[in-house]
Amino acid sequence: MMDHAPALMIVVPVFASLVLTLIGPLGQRAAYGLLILSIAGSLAAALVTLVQVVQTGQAVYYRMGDWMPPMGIELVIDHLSAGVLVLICACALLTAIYSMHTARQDNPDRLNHYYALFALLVAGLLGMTATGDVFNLYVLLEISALSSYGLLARGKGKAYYATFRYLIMGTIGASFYLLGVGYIYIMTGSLNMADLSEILRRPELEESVSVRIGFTLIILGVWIKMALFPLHAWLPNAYSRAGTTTACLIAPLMTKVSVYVMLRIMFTVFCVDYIFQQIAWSRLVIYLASAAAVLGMITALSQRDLRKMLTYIIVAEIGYLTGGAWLANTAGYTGAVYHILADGLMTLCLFMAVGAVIYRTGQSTAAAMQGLFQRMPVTAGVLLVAAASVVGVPPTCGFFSKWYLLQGAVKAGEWVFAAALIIAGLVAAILFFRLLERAFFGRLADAVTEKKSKKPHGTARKIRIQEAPLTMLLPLVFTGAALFGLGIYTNEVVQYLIRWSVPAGI
Amino acid sequence: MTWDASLLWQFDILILLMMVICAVTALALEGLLSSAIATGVYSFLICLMWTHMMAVDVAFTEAAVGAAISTVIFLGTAQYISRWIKKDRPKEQGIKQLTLVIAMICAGMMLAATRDLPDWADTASPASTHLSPGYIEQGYFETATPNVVTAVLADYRSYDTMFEVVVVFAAALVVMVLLRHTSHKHRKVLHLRPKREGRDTVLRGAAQSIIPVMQIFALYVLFHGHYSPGGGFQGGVIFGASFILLALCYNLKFSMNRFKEHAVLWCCAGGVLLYAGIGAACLSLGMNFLGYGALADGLGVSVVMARSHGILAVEIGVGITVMAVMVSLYYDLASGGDLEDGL
Amino acid sequence: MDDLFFFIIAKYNYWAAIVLLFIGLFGMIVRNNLMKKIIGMVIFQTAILLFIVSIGAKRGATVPILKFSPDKQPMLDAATYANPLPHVLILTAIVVGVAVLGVALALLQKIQRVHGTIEEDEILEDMRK
Repeated sequence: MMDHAPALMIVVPVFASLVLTLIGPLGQRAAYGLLILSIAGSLAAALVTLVQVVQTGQAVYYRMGDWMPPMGIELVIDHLSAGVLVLICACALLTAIYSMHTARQDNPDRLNHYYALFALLVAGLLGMTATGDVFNLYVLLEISALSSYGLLARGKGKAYYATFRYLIMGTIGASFYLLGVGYIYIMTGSLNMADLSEILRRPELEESVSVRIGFTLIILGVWIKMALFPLHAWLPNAYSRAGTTTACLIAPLMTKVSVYVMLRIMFTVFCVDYIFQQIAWSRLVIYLASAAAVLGMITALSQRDLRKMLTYIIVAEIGYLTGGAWLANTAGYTGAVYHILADGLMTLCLFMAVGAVIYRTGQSTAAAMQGLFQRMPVTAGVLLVAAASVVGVPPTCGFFSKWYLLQGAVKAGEWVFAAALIIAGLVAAILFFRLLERAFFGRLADAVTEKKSKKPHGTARKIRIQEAPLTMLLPLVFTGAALFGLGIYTNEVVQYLIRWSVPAGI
Repeated sequence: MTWDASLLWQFDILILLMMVICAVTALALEGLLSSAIATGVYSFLICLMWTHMMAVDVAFTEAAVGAAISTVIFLGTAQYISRWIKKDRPKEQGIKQLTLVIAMICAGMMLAATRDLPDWADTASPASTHLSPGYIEQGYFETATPNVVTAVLADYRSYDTMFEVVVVFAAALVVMVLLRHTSHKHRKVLHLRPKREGRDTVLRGAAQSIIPVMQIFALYVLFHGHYSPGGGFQGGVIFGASFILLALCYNLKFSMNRFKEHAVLWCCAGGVLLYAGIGAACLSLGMNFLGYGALADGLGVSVVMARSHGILAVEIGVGITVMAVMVSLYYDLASGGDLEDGL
Repeated sequence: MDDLFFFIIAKYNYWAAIVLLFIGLFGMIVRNNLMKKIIGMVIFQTAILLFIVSIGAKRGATVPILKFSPDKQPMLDAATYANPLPHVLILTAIVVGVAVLGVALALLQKIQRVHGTIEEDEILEDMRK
């Protein structure tokens, strides 16, 4: 069974979603239990593979249908993908546990179908990460995209139009990717990543305009999918109108996996020399990334809706990741990969905390934060940790990723990016300071809970602790702890995982 | 350089020109019904193009999916929206022209870069020499399937195909989740659609004689996919189309009495379950996921024949799911989700 | 003159695909009516499929279904059959395309019910209210 872990990891959620579609009559608890069970299974398989990869120091290969790689499809799990796979499973599992109350609230009917789409999205993301075939990646990209349209459209009222725009942009992105694969295929005749990277090293193909167009189309498609500035316009509307569970699942994972795909295409299919010598856009991309980081954070500062604010923080974080990947040095690459893990957890933590606040207060504006430390002390505490991580306060993981990125920027002499990192960090500090100030000193008189209990003036002043339910609190606290944990074990993560995946020649 | 007369370039260029005209027409027309029809014509022309490129399986699928099903669901949707588009406002003209200029520059660059691509239909291009000869030369000996497209689709790249079936399944699920909780507030919109008690006798008579033939043909296409163009997708779509035709010629209720809502759902999931189940069975019998060779002992045949049987089995799974999904999409989109009356 | 003729003959398929691609993309981005955007999307996707199927064509080749000689042996000259791999990819992509189309149309119906229109500017106005 151990040998089959890579396949099981992806197939188990698919089976779960099929069964979930059919078990409507069994009730909501059964659906909830089955979802958690299947994702826990995936997590176990992902952990087994991670341990195997770290112990042997080699990638794990799995041949689908026992066909040799260039002919058949192969799963390749190396140090980079193993880490991302564990991140996806862990985030999905935490969200699944968290979803007990929120999913029921957002889906009065057809909860089992909602969970089926949830499982399909997880399967799609895992498959995208594990695959070693560029066309297979497209199919799984469409699975994750389709299921995310369904999940996002379950939001309230205005979600439909936002989802429609996301669908149009997402289709353009995926189609660009497909066309790029077509261009690469026409010049090489292959679809397997390892095979492609060998063929693409031939000098006549390095010069070829068509290969360059193919690369451009693929990267443009991935950028649309990961919402890099200025292609990000679809993201804030689509994500901020979604239901709480949906936002917790999609916000941390979709964009991070797209970043992973960008790294895969850049460094596995193409090689370092090609990206930085032949293509040589790094200057331009780093400017875009810097603009994304700074403008994203500043726009976030101007938002009044809590979730919209968080979505603009995602746009800014995408700037960090892209910049790090295009710095063309080890520190930048390490920072980018480490930040995929760190930012996944950070975004999850933020969305969960805000989701808990919205669940309790029913409001999503900044006013919901009033007096949070008195009402929901645990949630507020975790929010504080997540904020510290986004700002980059040691020993949270956010600090270390910024540290590596900054180091990389200085080494590469990209002062614009270094400045953008620092400015974005400062803006984030202002943003969270404002929020937490409200949460700490905000007067309860303005808080929403007051309105509910229409008691006489005197008793209303009394502070009532209204913490979120335990199924929401546990994943929240765990994620908060993981932010510290990842920060403290930075050295180990870099040494055992990321250093192995640094592409040759960088 | 010699020119092979077997490729009729005049014919191709004519079709391509008509395609461009159809595409522009579909986007420019003010009536949405007519632009849906123009899109259908466009799909049909592309089928001709593909047949001419010897991509018969693809043309078959596009004729069934693009020209038939897509047009029907377009028309099903069109009854719930206003039929005519409004003229765009003048203030957006500027952005429009800017986009047009940028698009034309990009198009110009890509057109210029085609100089670098291998010539069309070049037998020595990398795509024709790297992997594909392997499939053609070994495919028959490894899978006992003369239709190389079927062999590659359902065996070499069977993992892709499994997820392709999952994609259509996901689409049916998403559409169901989106449309099937029509609140009473919005029911009045649905009542705007014309009532259909049934159609005239000619239509019914035609449907009665065509539908059985269609269904038998669909089964033939599915089971004969090893030897002729076709397979699970095409067979499934044709089978699904027979139910849609029934609904079009009688009414939605009539069709739904024969293929009930929950049966559709079970078929949607059941086909994928069959496909993935065969994969899992191979895994539990000691080979990798979807390695049909593992079934050899159980079936009492050689490994090569086991692959052939495996292909057939997964194609049946594909057929069931695709058939049910097409019907499900039609039920939902044509009735606006309340499943009471449709196109 | 002959060179130009052969150049056109050798590339016209790709040109048509690229022209259709941009027609579709233009419709998707610029048209105000959401239904037109969806039609643009269909044209855009199909143009890409046309491009990729064009890769599979070979001069003088026939459909990729093996022919048998009288003594039941398959004829295996790869040059006489069209390249099957692009066909397989496009079969997958066509089905993905119809899946996306179905979801887009379902969303369109929902938008019509919530906002009462499918013109983009009117929806945006409705949302501002």
